Amino acid sequence: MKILIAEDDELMLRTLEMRLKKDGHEVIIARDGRDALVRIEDSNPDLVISDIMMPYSSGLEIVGSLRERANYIPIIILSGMGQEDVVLEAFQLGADDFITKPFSPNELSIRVKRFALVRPR
Amino acid sequence: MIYFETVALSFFGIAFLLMGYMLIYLKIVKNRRSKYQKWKNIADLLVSEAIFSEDNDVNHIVFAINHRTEILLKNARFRKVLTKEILSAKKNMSGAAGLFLQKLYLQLNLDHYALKNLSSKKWHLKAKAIQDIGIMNLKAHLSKIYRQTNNKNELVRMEAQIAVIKLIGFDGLRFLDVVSYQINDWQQIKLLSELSYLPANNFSGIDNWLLSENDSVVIFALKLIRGFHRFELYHQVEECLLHMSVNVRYQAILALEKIYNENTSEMLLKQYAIEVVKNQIAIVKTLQQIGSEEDIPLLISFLKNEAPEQKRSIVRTIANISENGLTQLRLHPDADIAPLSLIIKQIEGELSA
Repeated sequence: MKILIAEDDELMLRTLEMRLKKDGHEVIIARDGRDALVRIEDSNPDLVISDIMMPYSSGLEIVGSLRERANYIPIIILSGMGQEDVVLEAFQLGADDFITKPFSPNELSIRVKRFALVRPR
Repeated sequence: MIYFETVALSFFGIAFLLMGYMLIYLKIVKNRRSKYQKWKNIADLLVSEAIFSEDNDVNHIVFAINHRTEILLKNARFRKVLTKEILSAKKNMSGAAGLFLQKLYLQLNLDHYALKNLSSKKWHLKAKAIQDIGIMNLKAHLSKIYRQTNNKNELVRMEAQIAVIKLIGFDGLRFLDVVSYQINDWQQIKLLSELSYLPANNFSGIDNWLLSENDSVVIFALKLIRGFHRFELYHQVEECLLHMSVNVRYQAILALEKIYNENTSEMLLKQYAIEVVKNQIAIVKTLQQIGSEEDIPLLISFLKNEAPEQKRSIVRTIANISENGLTQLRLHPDADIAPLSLIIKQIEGELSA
């Protein structure tokens, strides 16, 4: 599966990248929201994993922008603790799932596998 | 002519000196940045190794530390970079990955440096050490952190109070038994936020905190009762309405809104007469949630002497308690006289919107 990760924390980005590559996925990385939108357009990933708080465009803007263009790529939102309202807003905009930090890389792996199973072939 | 040459020479001399100074300075900055980047890469590698050690047994794992890193660990600046990276990862990772990061932190003896800073006389070092121990969940150092929860320095105290909750959850609140300094509003918000991440727990001690001589402890206890719906403490909260502090009474009114029973509205209406304006408004707003039609006549009687702000709260409460509320209000002798007439009109507008 081709997965785009949008995350501004370098260490977190590398960790997610390593984990997903280890699981056999193709990974595209973006360090801010604007870069993520460009890369989604260019590479048409099967899944987007996006942090909420990022420079230029937030995770919410990514969800909103994709759904506005009738792009139904599944999106998993990475949120911090205490961001329940923002997560709710992300769901209203069309996000498919969320993971709260701190999280276990195993948990992320399982959530991604779930999307891989339901993905149209 | 000689004068001109001297000035020109001095000018160029100073310019060259400045340029030389700038070049050396830029070179130092560049070297520092490059060194920092190298250190950061080493730290990231160690952190990644720890996160992806999931196939190993957390109790027996020993991370391979090369000779270069061992030497670098003696350098305080490198340790600062490494600690920052481990803490940042620990904040984002839970489960086995979080435990491996804790193991790495301990194996590198970074806790020893944190403990050393904990004994420092510089408050910022002490506060940072407490924060690190809390994030790394080093329960073994709980007693050392607990001692700092009543430190005379506000920031050290705040970090210690947060850290004990991170370490032992609701049990960490026992610092409220002894804290003699005020817990400011911001700290109370932070503590409540920290507690909200924990699984619900029927913790004990609130009844004692309600009797504390420290008003901020009583206020915080009332916030806990409100947030965790501790119905069994209803009578103790009721007694807080007799407290000397206006703010304690205010919080007691807010707490009663969450744990009310059939007698609460009547009791609050009695309290209204002896309260300050801030608390009177709080009572009226509480009645908006818990009041009944029987409370309306008394609420209408309050309209007589009150300022427009209170009148507005009272009218809104009456209108929200019952559909007949506004009908009864229109029978009031002042219902057609400003400001009451205008307030009624505004609330009618609100309700029809």
